[in-house]
Amino acid sequence: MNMHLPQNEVARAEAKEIANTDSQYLVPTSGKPLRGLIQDHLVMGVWLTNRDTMFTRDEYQQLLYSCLLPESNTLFKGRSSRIITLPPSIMKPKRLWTGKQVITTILENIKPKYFHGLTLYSKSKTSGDSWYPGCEEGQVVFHDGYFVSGVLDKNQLGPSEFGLIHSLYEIYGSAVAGSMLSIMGRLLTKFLHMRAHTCGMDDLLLTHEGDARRDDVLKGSKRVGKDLSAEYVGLEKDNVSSVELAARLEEVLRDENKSRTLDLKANAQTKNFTSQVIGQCLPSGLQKHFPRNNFQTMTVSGAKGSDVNASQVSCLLGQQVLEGRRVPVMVSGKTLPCFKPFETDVRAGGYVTDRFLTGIRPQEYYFHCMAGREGLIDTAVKTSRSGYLQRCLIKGMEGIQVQYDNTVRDSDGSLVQFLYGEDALDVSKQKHLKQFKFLAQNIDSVVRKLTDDLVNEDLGPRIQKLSEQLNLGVGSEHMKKSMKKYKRTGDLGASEVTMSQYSPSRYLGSVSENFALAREKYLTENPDGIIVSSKRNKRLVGSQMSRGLDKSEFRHLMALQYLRSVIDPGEAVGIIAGQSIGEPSTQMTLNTFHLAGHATKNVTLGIPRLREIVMTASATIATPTMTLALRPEISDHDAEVFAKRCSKLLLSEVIDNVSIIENLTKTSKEYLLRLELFPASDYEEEYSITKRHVLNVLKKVFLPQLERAINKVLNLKKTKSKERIGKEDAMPNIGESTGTIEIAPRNAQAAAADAEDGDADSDDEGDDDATNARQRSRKAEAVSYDNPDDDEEEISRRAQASESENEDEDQADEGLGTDASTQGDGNETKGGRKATVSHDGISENTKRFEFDKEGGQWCEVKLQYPVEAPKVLMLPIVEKVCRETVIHELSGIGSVVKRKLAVQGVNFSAFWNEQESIDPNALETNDIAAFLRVYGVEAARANIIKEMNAVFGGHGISVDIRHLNLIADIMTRGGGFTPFNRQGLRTSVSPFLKMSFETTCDFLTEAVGNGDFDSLTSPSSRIVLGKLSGVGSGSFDVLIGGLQG
Amino acid sequence: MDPERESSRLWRAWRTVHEMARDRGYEISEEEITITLEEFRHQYCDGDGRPIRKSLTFKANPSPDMIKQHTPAPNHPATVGTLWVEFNAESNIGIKHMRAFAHTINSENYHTGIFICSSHPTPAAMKIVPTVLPSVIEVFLESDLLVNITKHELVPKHLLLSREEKKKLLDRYRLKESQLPRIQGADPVARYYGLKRGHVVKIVRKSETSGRYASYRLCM
Repeated sequence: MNMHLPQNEVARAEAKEIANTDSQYLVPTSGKPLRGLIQDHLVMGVWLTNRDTMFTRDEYQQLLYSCLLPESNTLFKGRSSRIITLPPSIMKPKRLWTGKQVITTILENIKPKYFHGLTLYSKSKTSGDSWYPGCEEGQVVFHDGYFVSGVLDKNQLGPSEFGLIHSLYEIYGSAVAGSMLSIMGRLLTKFLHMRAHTCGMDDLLLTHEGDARRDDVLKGSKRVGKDLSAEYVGLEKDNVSSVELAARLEEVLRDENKSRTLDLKANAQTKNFTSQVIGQCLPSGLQKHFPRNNFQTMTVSGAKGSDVNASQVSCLLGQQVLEGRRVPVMVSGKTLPCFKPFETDVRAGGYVTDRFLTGIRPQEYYFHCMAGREGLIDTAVKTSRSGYLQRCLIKGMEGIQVQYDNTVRDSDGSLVQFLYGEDALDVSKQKHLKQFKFLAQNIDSVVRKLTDDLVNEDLGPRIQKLSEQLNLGVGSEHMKKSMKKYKRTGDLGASEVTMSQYSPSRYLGSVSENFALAREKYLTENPDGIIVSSKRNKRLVGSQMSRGLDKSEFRHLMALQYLRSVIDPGEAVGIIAGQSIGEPSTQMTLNTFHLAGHATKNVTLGIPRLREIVMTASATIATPTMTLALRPEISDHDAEVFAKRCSKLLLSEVIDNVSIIENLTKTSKEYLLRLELFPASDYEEEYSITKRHVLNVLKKVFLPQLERAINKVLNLKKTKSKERIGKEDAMPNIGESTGTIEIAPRNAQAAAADAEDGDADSDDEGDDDATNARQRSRKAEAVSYDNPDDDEEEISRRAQASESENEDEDQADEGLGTDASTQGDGNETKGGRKATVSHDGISENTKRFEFDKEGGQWCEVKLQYPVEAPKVLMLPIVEKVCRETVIHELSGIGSVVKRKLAVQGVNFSAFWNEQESIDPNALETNDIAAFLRVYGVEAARANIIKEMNAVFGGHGISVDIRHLNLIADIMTRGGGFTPFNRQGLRTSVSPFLKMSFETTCDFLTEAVGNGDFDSLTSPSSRIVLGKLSGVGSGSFDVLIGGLQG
Repeated sequence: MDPERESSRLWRAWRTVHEMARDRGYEISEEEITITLEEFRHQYCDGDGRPIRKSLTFKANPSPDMIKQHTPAPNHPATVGTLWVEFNAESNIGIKHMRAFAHTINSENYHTGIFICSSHPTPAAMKIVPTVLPSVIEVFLESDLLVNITKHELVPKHLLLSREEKKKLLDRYRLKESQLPRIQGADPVARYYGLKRGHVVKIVRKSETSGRYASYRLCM
């Protein structure tokens, strides 16, 4: 370990005032407490404060002495060092003090002079019902420093917001909260010595009934695997031939998508069993119940472990999950060698019904280890990923700082936000700002802390003076008017926003509109009855009765509270935002997440998604989706029809069965192809298409495509056997070849990239050819990656237009390159001729095409080939073509999930055509770059925040919106979508900053070549030269008025 | 495309372009914006229900407020004038069409011309745009006007600042123009409002933390 000793006065002051642990109580990420008691202390907190705990005079004083005395230096400043004690609550037969009284005594002793006792209404983590039904011990009540009810557990003593310690921090300040933590720590340690805590086997055992219920439920899980598998592969549940089942299961398990769906279904089923068992056994099936059961005491109070641990010990381990799936099967069809191939029992899939209490079998143990190992790998891999992410963020934002006018600016002076976080509040100071009940109940202490006056008893004059200094009235008057106007018109631009006109740090009453609204709501509703009318107060002037808090006083004091919560100038908000994203990203686990209702589709989440948004600012994201808001008047049925109309539908989805009869005559080979479709009524309803539509597709799309596929195979065979390399083969097709050469239509994003390139070019023309070349290659890549579906579509459409029987697939058969020179001439004539032939849809090989126009049930095609044509297997070809033929699709759009209308793929203009069904103004997408292209930079900014929030929300991590706001503002400040990486950093004005990030030599040569200079304002460049960084406490200096004398 | 669909598409574009003119500050009557599909079909479609794009033109004059906004200094001429909007049905917009449009602008002395076509004009045609300076030609695609993007939930209110307001803003925050956050000239919203380089827009957005929040961006 290193020991750090402050080396100068600045460092000493920083260590004393900023780095001191009491001042580090709240996390800037979310504003929640960081410090708190854990484990044994929490258990003891429950035991100390519950109703049964009584102390004799000796014990009471022993406890107080041991916890309060070490704190006497800080606590008893300014008063005699006597510990204040309370009278006992029970006098006869013996004087006894309750555990709650111990706490009350401590509060009384740590309360600073002139402050009032704490009033707090809160909840324990230990619910009242766990003591006995209807018990009010779940409700924690402190009244004027007197501990009335509830127990102190994780919610009060641990690192939880709005608990006892957090509340003390708010009204008495950081030093008192810090010493309260130490005092509680000592007190509970002492109490632990007196009482002790243990945990044994009898805390884990179930009663006989409990065990029986557990066995009962688990018995059901034996069957569920088989039933589910049988149902999934389409067999009757009751008479399943195991051979058939295994065969079909094999097919499922070889298919990634199918087996994933099966896994998900199985997981859903086993989850039911797990929760049933837990519901039956915990805690009702236990031999010992809550206050007596030490294991339960730990989980219930939040000291250690959770329900999951309890259930793993006493009930079952449950489903083991690897990468979101069940345990994978090997090639042999087994998950472990001891199981049968294609075993349907959920046990073989990793569902562990054993428990730790009675032991787990080797197979189960192995599965459990597999899942545990994955967790380890995940953590190991993640650290480096999130570390780099954080470094990129911090490099991009290291100079971002709050200025005296509450604006947020970069070190080069460019403006990022006009008010930090849009309301100028400090994340860690604003936590109690809207807790009006708490503030009103403790108004006297709050006011004293606000005025920072620990000397005078009467605060009236002090507040008066403060308000005059702070231009009271100007801000609040403007506020009143402008909010009224906004509310009346509902137009965002109807009136000036008060905070943008009057600086919140100079004008008392210039508060955010949200805060003002919440405050007025509290005042009018007055739910706690604390606010009294001002008339009553006037009447009470001079009387002995305590006057209450009236509306205008409350308004005034809350404005003061707001002002006190405004962020300090110099705060390095950029670095804080970077850390606030970087730190929680280490806690994120799963990389993907299942889209609701659609088993096989995923959306990227977790760190990969974060990288996509922040580090690459990706224009082509991995899983683009859209969310459509249906108009309210659209019925469920219409919605379904609409969803089907927009979804991609393949021909294979309407085909029930395909049969082929091969017939060899003397002159030709004939294939009679019969496609059995599902009943027309079914597919018409299911996919909202018509028979005519299907006919069209079969004739115009399917048939040509089929012929092409067959020809491809035929030709391949021919060339392989080196037979018949005749004229026909050398006849390529003009339409075909142009189709492949043609440049894919550039979409807007390529154009946008183009625009950026243009900028770069004009800035410094010839000097970075290499970069240009790289950019060009990048662009080329982007084009080739873009919408391959579209390209293929285009190509195949062209191909169909000029389809013919013996057409050569030259793009596939590159081996035929030798013929290339001879192809030129024949091409044009042939291409032209075929185009006309294919207009009637039936070409030379197709002898007959029949469609069941009445019922739409079948379609027959007769294909004829020369007898010398090589033998081909038709069925796989037909199947393949069926799967490739698209009945309808919207370009870029995959599937549409029914009710929620989540769409895979992004295509705004396609849905602009559907305004009858959906509200175009509520379209959402996770593709930020698309939003930038279509709706502009402000919408993209909003989308960045929304998407990042979704990433953290999906993992149950709370990150304050102010950090996300700042990041989005920085990314869009240039009007585009700038990533936090080398490219994004290129625009920075500080060469040292760029060099210290990545590719030092590149940036150095560039800077030297351009004759750049560094003004030494960015933190990186200052560190390079060994100067004090200019952010945070480094942004201030002493001004010495030497010249004026 | 069937005529019904086509006319409804055009009707939407027609409304959007009117809203655009109104939002820029031109004098547009309420009826022109709230025109219903039936009225539109009745007025601008032929017997088959096919819209006649040639008849889809209009002219709008700037409102006094707008003139005031665009006057750089007292006694200086306003940098804004009459607006001319034209639709074009051609599937290929070439130099010919663009030249004809530029001619209209020049001969009638319009200040701003909005040319709405169904496909992208050729690059050569786009070269004609700067020739009409100081008049301005703005080219929009019909398909881009099907929806008024500024009505989207995530698009906040954009308000153009006058030269005075801009100066006041820069003074208040002691900023150089280049230190403001930016909006690209090619940004869809900037195009909607016809922003030019150097214009500053005030952006009033709904904010989760503060209710309403005002920000500013400089058009590049």
